[in-house]
Amino acid sequence: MRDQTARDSRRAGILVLDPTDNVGVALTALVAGEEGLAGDCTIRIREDIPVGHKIALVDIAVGGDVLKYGEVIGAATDRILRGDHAHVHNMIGIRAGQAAW
Amino acid sequence: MTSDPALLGFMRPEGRPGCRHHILVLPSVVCSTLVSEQIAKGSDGISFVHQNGCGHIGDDVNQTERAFIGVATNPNIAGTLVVSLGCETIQGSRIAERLEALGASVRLVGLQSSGGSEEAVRDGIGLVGDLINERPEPDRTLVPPKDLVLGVDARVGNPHAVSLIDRAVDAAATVVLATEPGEASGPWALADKIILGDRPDSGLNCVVDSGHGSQHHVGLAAAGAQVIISYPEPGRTPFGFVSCPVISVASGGRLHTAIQGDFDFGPDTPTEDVWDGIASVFSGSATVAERLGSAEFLVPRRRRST
Amino acid sequence: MTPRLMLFERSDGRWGTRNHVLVLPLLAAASRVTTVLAEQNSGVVSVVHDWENIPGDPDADRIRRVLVGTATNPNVGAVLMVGLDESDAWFADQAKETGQRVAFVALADSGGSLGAIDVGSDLLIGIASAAAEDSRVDAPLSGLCLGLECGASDAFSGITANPALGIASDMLTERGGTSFLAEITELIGAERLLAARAISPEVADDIMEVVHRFEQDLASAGVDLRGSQPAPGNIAGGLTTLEEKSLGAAMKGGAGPIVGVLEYGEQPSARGLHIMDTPGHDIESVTGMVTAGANIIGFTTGRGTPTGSPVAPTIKISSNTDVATRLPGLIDFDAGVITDGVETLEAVGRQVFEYLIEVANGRRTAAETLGSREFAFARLDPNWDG
Repeated sequence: MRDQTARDSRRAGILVLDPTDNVGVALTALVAGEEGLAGDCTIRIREDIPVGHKIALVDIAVGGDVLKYGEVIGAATDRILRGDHAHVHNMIGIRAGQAAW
Repeated sequence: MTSDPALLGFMRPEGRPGCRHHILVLPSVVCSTLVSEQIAKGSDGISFVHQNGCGHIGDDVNQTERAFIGVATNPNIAGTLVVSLGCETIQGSRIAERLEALGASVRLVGLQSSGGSEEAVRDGIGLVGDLINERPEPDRTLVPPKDLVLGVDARVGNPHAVSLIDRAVDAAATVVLATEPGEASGPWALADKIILGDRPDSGLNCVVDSGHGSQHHVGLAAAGAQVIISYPEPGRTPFGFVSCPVISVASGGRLHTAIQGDFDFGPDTPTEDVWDGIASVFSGSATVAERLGSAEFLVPRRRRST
Repeated sequence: MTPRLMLFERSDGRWGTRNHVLVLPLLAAASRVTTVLAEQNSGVVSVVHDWENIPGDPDADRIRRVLVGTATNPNVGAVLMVGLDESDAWFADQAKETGQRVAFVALADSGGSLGAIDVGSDLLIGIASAAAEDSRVDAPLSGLCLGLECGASDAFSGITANPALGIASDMLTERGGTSFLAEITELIGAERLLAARAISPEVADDIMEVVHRFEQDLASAGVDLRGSQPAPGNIAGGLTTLEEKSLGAAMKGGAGPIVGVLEYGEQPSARGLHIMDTPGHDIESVTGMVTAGANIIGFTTGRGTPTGSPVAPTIKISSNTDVATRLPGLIDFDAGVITDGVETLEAVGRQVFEYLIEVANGRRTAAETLGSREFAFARLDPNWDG
């Protein structure tokens, strides 16, 4: 991951931190309708996504795990489509909420 | 019936008169306290250091916001500059919006949005200048005793405090009490209960759950008290407050005798003399704490930080 | 290969990267006295805090630990403690036991605040001139104790600045130094990965325990942490959940072995990377690490923050070049060059390590230039029925 971070970043536009991840990180502001490059994959960007925010690399069902750094970082609260902005409006953390206990 | 000494204060368009005419430089988070201090030093504002504004959970978010907003809308405050970092839990922009909605003169400066600390200090000094121009200090005019809101910080049942409370109620002043957790009796039991940040009706009121020690001063100032009279317990120290004069009355205990230089009145001062002292401080005389520059601001907290 | 390290040697075997003269209030009522003393005497640093030392305060022991630990941090060459009365001489005695130069003044012995300012001024001259005799000497890397902190994080913190600081921390601990990874709130969700790096099953259990204890403490208070974590600025920066923030935050602990878990402000008995039980509140966390002896702080940030320890030089490492450009007065080192494709993470990690050495040797940080000196205790029970 470390080497790839440096090498591919600018050109790719979308950083994938681990091969098992289903979201990537926008390295620049992504514009709806354009295409982004995540490693070797091209992804149609479905909505504007600010720099640093997450973009879905594949479709994620409601309740499905969201994976980043190769780890579960939360669950989808709404259907997330490939190319969608994944953030507080369609996903939630699992830990540290009362619901978790 | 004894006659009441004259109170000279600053009439406010929005309500009760103030006894000081301060521009408050309010850091919304610990991270902006140094910049706030530097803005206050470089202008005619007042500020204070605190450890809050981020990492709060549960009630503490609401409680801290109510404390900030209550103190900033105290009649001693002519205008407020909110100093924000930008990413904090208690968002400076939200505090500024709510103050504006309450009719306060307010400005906002953010460290992250203005390019850093030095830039925020420069911008902030300019904004305090704007507030001073917008709300120049008026002449003091005669204030009827019914417009006095007197904050009383004393242990439940303290006889000197009880005597003073009676005197203030006789004069038709509004009195606000604060207590440590535990039983209430006398005026503390009779008083109407309010919570931190509420404005009292006329008569006798008590801010419940207002924390320990000098945390009470925040609750009293947020209730709109122009002047606070404080009777620290024998083992505790007097404290000033950033925006209200605090008149401290010593107990006869050993510690208070040893630090008597920090008190305004000795233990056996007659109530009528204390009452006259309140009028004098209201009308502009500086308290010991004001002369020292003592400006503590201790927000009552319910929970640990996260 | 390793650059020369020049530190202040202390009689307790620890090393200082600075030689501060500290004026420390032992209770909130002394804060005004210490502030005036610091204003009147250049080269003196003071702090403000809100502890009233009211009988029955359940946090009293941990706050006393912070006051003594801060006063005896190896970066403090001498300390003037301002207390209430003779009972506060206890703090001075504790500090003296470590070999620290200590002066003490009580409000009750000097008629109150103005008297204490007069007496304190004279005492300060004495201890400051003694501390001025200290000088830097060649020091081993094991003399460095690095506190790892992140604040005002964004989505790049876990990709650039935190892993770069993690590499620097690994380089330090491989060479005999010590690091603290703190902010337990921001390890929730990363504890399994950290426990896998423990040097023993016992330490692994301790790591799981310290994280779960924190979660349970909040649960028993009926609090949903998701209201405050991630913080509004984190969310604006692209961090959605606490787990996500934690996985990024844990990166600043590098990849090396974890040798132990410490209580808030507890001094380590061994070298190497430790986890410390602090909240995510930046100031409370840094104060805890400095209490335990951290003599330098690596502080990553995505959105920029001016804060710094009054005692330990605090290096701000930005996660993105944009913030380093917009807030140059707050940032010491830009790790954003990693995603800009200019440098590799490994190269930036090595540069962070070299920068740590430079700051340890005396290079001023942005926070030192600003005069930052934030200080706060991590209380467990601020609302007791005393």
